[in-house]
Amino acid sequence: MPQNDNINLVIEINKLVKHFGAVKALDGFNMGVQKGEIHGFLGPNGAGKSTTIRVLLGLLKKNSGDVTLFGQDPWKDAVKLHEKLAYVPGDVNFWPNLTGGEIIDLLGNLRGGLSEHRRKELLAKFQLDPRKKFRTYSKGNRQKVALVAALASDVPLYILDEPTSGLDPLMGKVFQDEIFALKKHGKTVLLSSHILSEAETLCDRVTIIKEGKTVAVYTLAELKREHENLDQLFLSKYEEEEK
Amino acid sequence: MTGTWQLIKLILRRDRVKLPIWILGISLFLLWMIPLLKNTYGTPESLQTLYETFKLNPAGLLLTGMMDAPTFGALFTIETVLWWGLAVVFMNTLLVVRHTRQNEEIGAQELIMSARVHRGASSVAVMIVAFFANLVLGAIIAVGMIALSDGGALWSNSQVLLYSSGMALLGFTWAAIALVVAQLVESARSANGILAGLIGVTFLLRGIGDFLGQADASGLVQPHWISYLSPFGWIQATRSLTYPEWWPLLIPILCAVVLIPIAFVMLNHRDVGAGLLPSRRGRARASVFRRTALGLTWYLQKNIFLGWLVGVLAMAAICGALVSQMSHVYDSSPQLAQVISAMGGTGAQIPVFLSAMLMIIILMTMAYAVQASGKLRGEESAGYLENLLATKLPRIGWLLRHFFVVLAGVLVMLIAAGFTLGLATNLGGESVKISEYILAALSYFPVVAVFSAGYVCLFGLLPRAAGLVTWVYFGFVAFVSWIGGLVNLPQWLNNFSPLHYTAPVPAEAVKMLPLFIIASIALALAIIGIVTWRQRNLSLSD
Repeated sequence: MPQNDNINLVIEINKLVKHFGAVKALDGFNMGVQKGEIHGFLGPNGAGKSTTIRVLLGLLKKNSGDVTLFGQDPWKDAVKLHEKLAYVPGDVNFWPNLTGGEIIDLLGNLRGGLSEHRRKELLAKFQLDPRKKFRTYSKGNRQKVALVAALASDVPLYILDEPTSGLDPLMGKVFQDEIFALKKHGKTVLLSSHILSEAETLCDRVTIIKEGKTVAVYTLAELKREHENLDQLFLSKYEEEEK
Repeated sequence: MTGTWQLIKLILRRDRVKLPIWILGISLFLLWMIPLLKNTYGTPESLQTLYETFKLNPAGLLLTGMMDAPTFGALFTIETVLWWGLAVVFMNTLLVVRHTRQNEEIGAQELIMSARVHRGASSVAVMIVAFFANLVLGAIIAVGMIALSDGGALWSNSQVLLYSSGMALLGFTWAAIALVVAQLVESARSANGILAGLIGVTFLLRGIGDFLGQADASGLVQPHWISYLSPFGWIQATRSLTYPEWWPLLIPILCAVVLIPIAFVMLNHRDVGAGLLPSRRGRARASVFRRTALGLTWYLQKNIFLGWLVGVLAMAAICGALVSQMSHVYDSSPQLAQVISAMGGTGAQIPVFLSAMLMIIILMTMAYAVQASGKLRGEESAGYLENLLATKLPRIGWLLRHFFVVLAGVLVMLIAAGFTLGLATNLGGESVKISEYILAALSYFPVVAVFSAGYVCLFGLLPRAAGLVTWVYFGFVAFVSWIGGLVNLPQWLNNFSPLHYTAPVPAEAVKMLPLFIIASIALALAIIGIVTWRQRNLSLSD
């Protein structure tokens, strides 16, 4: 039974286990994302961030544990839930011979329509040429294609898997402004990231994952009280277990 | 040139499987044709019959070139020079593009060029590898042909040397052409596309030239001069196994000697990664159809469908046009009659021949169904599917769209092939009912659908093996229906081919019951595939 304080949870994960053959990717992982917050999802490569996100999207089937998205099961109700979210994958792979503009239109349409005004505005802000074939884009521009497609959709939840790893600092700033704007409109954002300073600027709360387990959950206020910055917290969480 | 040797080693390391497969596949399959052809057409009588048929047969000239004499060498020439030549050409163009333009496109060239490597070293390295690959290929062919020459009865050693040098030089010339084309455009895909177009055009030019050829005083067909615009025409002009001439080999040598320096001049005048032709900009917006899931599916399936449709229709047109000529061969060659009736059934000659030809067309349609269904796994493993399934598009809906587009493609292909076969037969001078051929082709729909449904089933159950298993099964079915009637295969082996249960139509009446059973099997396979696909994890990269 969901407890009272959980009513506001958009994403709720309890004791999630997922293995691939003998490898345990997620080993009793917990996470809760509240409505209207920007939630940072931190951890090194291979810790299980992308696996968690793909379970949330109903692309991978959990082995055990409870996962709900808007109170529903992401595996069974995948399609209904996907109306409410936009996703930017960590590895942006699209059909090489379609243009960025075509891909944005396609994804927008499959998500249930995108705002023409937002599409135009975002292309200008991110300085993305929509007429180039996808294969000719650089890494950062590939990410922009996925970002523009996601941000031009008006949905309650945005799931972003390391969306800024290829962006330059100027574009990183544009991205941050967009995320703050989403928050102002009451949207929820799950932001997986490597860039700790960015997470520190943007996030209300963070969950740190290590080897498929939750090692820490902090609000930014708690964080500021206990640690100098997120870098220090992150490193301390990783080093204390090594000892 | 600095770095060349290391780059040669890199190419050999990257292609350690690919290149041997190409070389051995081409050469061993070619050598295997010698006993195969000898068993089927080995007698002087059947060679004489073939010669009479092919000598001035326009369709034969267009497709295989001139048969110079009623000898085995002449037969081997028309059966192999062009078609195996085509394989040698593709081996070379793909090799060169893979190690030049593709390297630049994926960004590897940039890293290589930052090391102590000369600007042209990659190109020199790949041309050296291509040279030796063709040399090895030619050597294997030469040794094999000499060993299988019946002690010199089929051909002399110098004839074999001319034949194999021709093949090797054809390959190297196209490597040089590919090196030039690789300088022009930015993507490997475009370079390969341009090259495939050039290969097709030159192949066709030679066909037209031979088609327009005239017999000279000695009875030898001399092609029209436009055949000499094509590298295929140059090799053909050596007439290596009949009336050998060495001088035509000078043309490909000259061609390579001119083209390679041109490629290096072009290389010296462009940036790494850039092409000499400007790359085209695409559309800023997706069309209303393209932005739907069905529109995307059609976009992804379109090229495979159109490619096979052209092949199938060309095959149907040629078979239809050949009917009147083939009935002569059929009369006088018991071996050929046996091959044909193994596929086409029993009854009057022309329907039996056409039923056999229809069977070949059906096999091509099956290959289309397998390749097109392979997009399912292709989209998944390339990582494109993840983006789609994170939208409102349901898993099953995604799969069904591909499945239905493939089945619709099969349907259209069958109708078009039946129509073309009937029409071409009528134009060739034999009177048949076109509607009968359309219906005959359509009756194979369940048999072809089994291949797509089988792929869907494996895609759900064993995604990694789906392509391999379906292709192997297709190979088995093709083998059984092609060769099965000639060599006595064990009966139980035949039972595994769906074509074993259907009647060769229209020579014999359609058997309805097997078609219903096969259709039910296809439906069951598709359902198993859909259910298991709904339940399984997506294969994803990290």
